Amino acid sequence: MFAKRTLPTIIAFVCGITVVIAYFFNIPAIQSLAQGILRWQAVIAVFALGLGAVNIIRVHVNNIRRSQGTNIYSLALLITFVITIFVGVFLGQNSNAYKFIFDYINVPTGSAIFSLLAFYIGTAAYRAFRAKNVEAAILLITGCIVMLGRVPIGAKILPVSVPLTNWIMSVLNVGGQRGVMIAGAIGFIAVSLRIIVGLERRSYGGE
Amino acid sequence: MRISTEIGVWVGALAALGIYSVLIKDNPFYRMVEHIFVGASAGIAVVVGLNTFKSTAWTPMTEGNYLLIIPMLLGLLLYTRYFPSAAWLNRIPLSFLMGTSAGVAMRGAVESQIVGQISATMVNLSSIDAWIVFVGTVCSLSYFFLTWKTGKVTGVTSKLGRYFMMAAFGAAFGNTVMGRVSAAIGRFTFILKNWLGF
Amino acid sequence: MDIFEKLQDLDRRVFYLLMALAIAIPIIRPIGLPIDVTDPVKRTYDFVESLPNGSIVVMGFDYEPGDEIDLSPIAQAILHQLARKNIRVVALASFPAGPTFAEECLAVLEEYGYEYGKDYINLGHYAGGEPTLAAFANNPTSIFVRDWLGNDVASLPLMQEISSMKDFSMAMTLNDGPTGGTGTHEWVRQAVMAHNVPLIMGVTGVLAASNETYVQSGQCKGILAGLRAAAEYEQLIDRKGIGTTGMDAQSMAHMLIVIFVVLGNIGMFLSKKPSGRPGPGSPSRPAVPGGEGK
Repeated sequence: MFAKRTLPTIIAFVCGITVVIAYFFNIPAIQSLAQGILRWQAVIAVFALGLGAVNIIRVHVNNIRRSQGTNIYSLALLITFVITIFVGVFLGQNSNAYKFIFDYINVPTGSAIFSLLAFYIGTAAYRAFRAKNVEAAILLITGCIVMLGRVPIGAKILPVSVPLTNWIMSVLNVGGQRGVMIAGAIGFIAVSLRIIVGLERRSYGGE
Repeated sequence: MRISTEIGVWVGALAALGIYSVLIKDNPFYRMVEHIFVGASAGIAVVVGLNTFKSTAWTPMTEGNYLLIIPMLLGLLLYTRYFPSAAWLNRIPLSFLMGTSAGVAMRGAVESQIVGQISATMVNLSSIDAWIVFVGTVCSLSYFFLTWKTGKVTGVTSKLGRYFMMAAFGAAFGNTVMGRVSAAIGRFTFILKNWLGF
Repeated sequence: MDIFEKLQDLDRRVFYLLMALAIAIPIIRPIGLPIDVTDPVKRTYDFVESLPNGSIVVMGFDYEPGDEIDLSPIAQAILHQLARKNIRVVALASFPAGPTFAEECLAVLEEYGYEYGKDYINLGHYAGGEPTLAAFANNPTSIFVRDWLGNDVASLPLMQEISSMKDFSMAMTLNDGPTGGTGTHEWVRQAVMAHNVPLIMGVTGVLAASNETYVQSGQCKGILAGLRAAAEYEQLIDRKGIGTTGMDAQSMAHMLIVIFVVLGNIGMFLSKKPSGRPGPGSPSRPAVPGGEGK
């Protein structure tokens, strides 16, 4: 019971409270302890990087097993995964083979996936972006002004769009975003406090 | 038009075309490229992770910082989640990570996201723009916090707050479009110039 | 009115094709629209100009491949300006792809005669996000014992001048969000609030609006948002790159989207049917797997 429930709560409390005290008070012993905690955290976090890879392997090995080897997509994923690790570990991160995978597979594909949204926004702009009420109208008008003000053609056909964009960004936008930021930070601090004092045990797997 | 003879350029162009083919219809080519991307990304994460492990933990440990064995063992405990009988052990490293992250984030958030923002709003209210920011901030905050009792005044401020937030989201939308179009420009430039040689 | 209803039922692929043409044609046949430098970009440029010659800055390459086109051109433009002022650079990354992007961008320094280890360093990747950045800020060599190339960090001449974040004249993050790495809020907390080091940001378009508050509050000295900011910076440093060449395509694509929005709304007002509907054959899966919140 102690190890399962109380120990994690104590660890979270000690770590959290130490780094907070070290920030506000210049006590050498606490500061050195806090730096040690941060340093250990960096080491533990490296191990967390591998969890994603383990999950991917488990899911796709299961896919292949269930399909009795006919799931070529999962097979391709695992083969690429293994080749990338082999190249990175044995040939090095500065080898041409690693850079080939990075520059000609990872970057073009990732970038193309992200850019799909440009096309989806195109159709959504026509079919779904409707000024049905005041809020939607404000969103659409500011959105369109910013879109025009951000590109050279906007300055050509609607010169006022450029200063208007700068004004929207630095005044209207800041007014709205700042409220969101402060409110979000208060909520965030509340959750952080709950984690430190052990009221949010679910965040580290407790009940 | 001079098509590239470089194999990497061909691979990069075909990978991008494979992704764009989903715009016509979901198809095996798209799925294959998508899976290869996930495999390569996960592989890169592992390779870089191993390098980070060497730099942050293994090398300093072998050079005499033997205490680092403790966080390494704690890190290994993260993997107990795959063994149901020992899964509870992964709460120990997780509580370490969560407690530290919460403490580090909390201490700075008070200053940067609350005190810093409030003082920037209140100080130097000498221009109309500064007053607009002030009104926007107060009204959007009232939208979040004055939820328990809606009177006439709070109703107006909360509504005004919503309008300010919509203007902010509109600005965010316009900028988001810009970012996604830029990504497409990068890929199209690669396909049209580097690959097809226009 | 009929025409709007017909347009409403148009195959989504026609819109995709129009968007593809709006982007492709200006790339093949550039129009050469003039790019004006806006105040926010000029302010950032002026701030970097005001840094002491020969000082040291830290740059965080906190982005993934999907946002490379938005952020690498900004990084390269800034690096050109830094090199002209003999400012030295320490790079680090919170995403696995970051060190490779850093390496590719830092290559521009070599044309100015910069020497690795003495004038610039690529420290590589760190795990753990904000707490690790905080540890780095207190004592950089406690986190990075070996750099990206495998060198002993403490023995590199440049690192011998750095004992904490305070030794940097400026921090810069090239950032596409906190998911899986260190976000802009974290940089403000650890560089600006904890160590009083001035910060500038290069961000993707998505993050531009939310981070503008830091510029207005003075916690961030300048923000460069996306390819457009890179294009403007390229004008300021007088080196044309993809930012400049991409602006015609950016113009056409934005125009097309604005036209779509206007036409869609005219159609709604004429037909008095204020209901947006999803297009036929909308993708059944999310466009960007796991990409929400970016």
